[in-house]
Amino acid sequence: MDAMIRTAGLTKRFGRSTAVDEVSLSVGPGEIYGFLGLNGAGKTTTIRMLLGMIKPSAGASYLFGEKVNAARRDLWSKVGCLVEMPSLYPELTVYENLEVVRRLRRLNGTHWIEEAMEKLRLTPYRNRKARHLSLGNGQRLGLAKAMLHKPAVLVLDEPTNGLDPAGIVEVRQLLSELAAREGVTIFISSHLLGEVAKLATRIGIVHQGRLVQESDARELHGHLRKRLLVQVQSQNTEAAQAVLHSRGYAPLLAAADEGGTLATEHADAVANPERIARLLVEADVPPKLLRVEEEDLEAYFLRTIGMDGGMAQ
Amino acid sequence: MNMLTALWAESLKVRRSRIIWISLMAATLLPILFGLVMAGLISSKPALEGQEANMQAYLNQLGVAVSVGGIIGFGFLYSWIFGREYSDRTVKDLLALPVPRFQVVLSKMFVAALWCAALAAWLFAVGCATGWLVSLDGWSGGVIADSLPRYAETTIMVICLSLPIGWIASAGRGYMAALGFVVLMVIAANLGGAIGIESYMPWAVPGLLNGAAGEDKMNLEAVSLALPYVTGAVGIAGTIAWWRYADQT
Repeated sequence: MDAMIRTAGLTKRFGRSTAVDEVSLSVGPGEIYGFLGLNGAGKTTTIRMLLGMIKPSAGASYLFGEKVNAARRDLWSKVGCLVEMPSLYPELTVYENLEVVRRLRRLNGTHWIEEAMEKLRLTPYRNRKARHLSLGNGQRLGLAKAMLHKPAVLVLDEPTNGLDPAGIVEVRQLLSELAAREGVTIFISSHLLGEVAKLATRIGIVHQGRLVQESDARELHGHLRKRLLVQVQSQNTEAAQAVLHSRGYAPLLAAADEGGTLATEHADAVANPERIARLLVEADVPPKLLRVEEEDLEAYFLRTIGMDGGMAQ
Repeated sequence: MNMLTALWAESLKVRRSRIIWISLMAATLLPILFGLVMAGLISSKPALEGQEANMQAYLNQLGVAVSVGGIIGFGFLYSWIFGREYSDRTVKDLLALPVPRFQVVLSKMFVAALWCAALAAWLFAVGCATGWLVSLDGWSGGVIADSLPRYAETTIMVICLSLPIGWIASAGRGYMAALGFVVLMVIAANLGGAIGIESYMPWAVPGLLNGAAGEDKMNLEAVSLALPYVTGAVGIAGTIAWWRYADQT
């Protein structure tokens, strides 16, 4: 299957600083690729290179197998984008903002606008000037502009910024449908792994300009750490620790503020907490509480980029 | 087709903006104010000292107003039409459209030029009407017709001198650098006058042509007269090259 989006050793240097460092990735038709990174990780610079707005210092990016450069205008008729904040003409109405895009994209008929407004629930605001839109509706209008021409590839930079929870769910459903029903390939950047994980089929984590990990979204949960928390009477902590240690469960004190709580990441203990309970009861240090805890996605993300401060509670 | 669509899009943005009304108001009030001063209806004797209060002098003053005020006013319009795309972050969408970038630049420049020309024409028309209303001596169709070619030439020169503002606004990613450039050029033109090289300073040429530095300096060499047009050509080429080749970060 040919890649719809591909980068090969994509690098951008600004003076001595390297914003994007040899990023190579590939996104197939109908995939939703979540491009994850902290602010300043190089997401937007990568996207701008993908869209031909910035020339790479080294490497190249390809859309539909064609090398991207500013002169290849034909590529943009099949690509929709939303880069950073939505870009709107504040003095124009919602309809006029879309009309400008429709005409410049040479789309015949106003049904393109009606459909986009309908999809993004902007119809009630059609005659409202963009300057009077809420942040969320402004974001919807930005998305409507990106999707107006039914592109084969959508490149979205933080598309749920400013949306309320209902709006986030709505946009997530819309993008999922676009990928599933219409085969649209979506490249979406975010700094929220939890959000992207609900949508993306594949996830790439970028940090300090480098692509540090790529994984299938379905396999993501396999990467999350699990641990068993065992709480005993605080005077029994040392005894319980000795019992578990003698059986090879290598318990650790979970945290200073969790007196009497031991934690282990031992796979057998996590899979069979009842065994631990029985062991402690037999040793006369019965547990008050046993709980299997899974690392959350944000903690996993921070651990991947080397910024973890321990497992999130 | 693309070019016409790009022109339509640019004209829509201008038509919907408040700035069109502000500039129209300025182009209306300025000749009225000058006319009232010229007619002595507003006391401003020092401003008229050494000048005859007649229609010819009034039209000359309007020429000076366009050659000096136009550099600031037209420069502001050019800085808005280009700089707003960066301030409103709409430039990203323009760059990702299947429209050649040179067409976007040319349509912006054309619409801005048209706007400036319309303002100058309106200013002249209001000036003629004001001269008639305040009964300035020597008001006649002949005087107006005689003044028109130089006024038109001045307007075209000032529009050409505004073209590099698009480049500065694009490179500066907003209005501020462009507005700073306009002010700098006005100061540079005045400094050029102080050291006697004003006829080789493009931004001073329209003023000289209209007698802003005295009648003895109104006869300019061909090189001086060509400078604003050369500046305009450099402005167009620079702006297109910037949009085409520079990193749009």
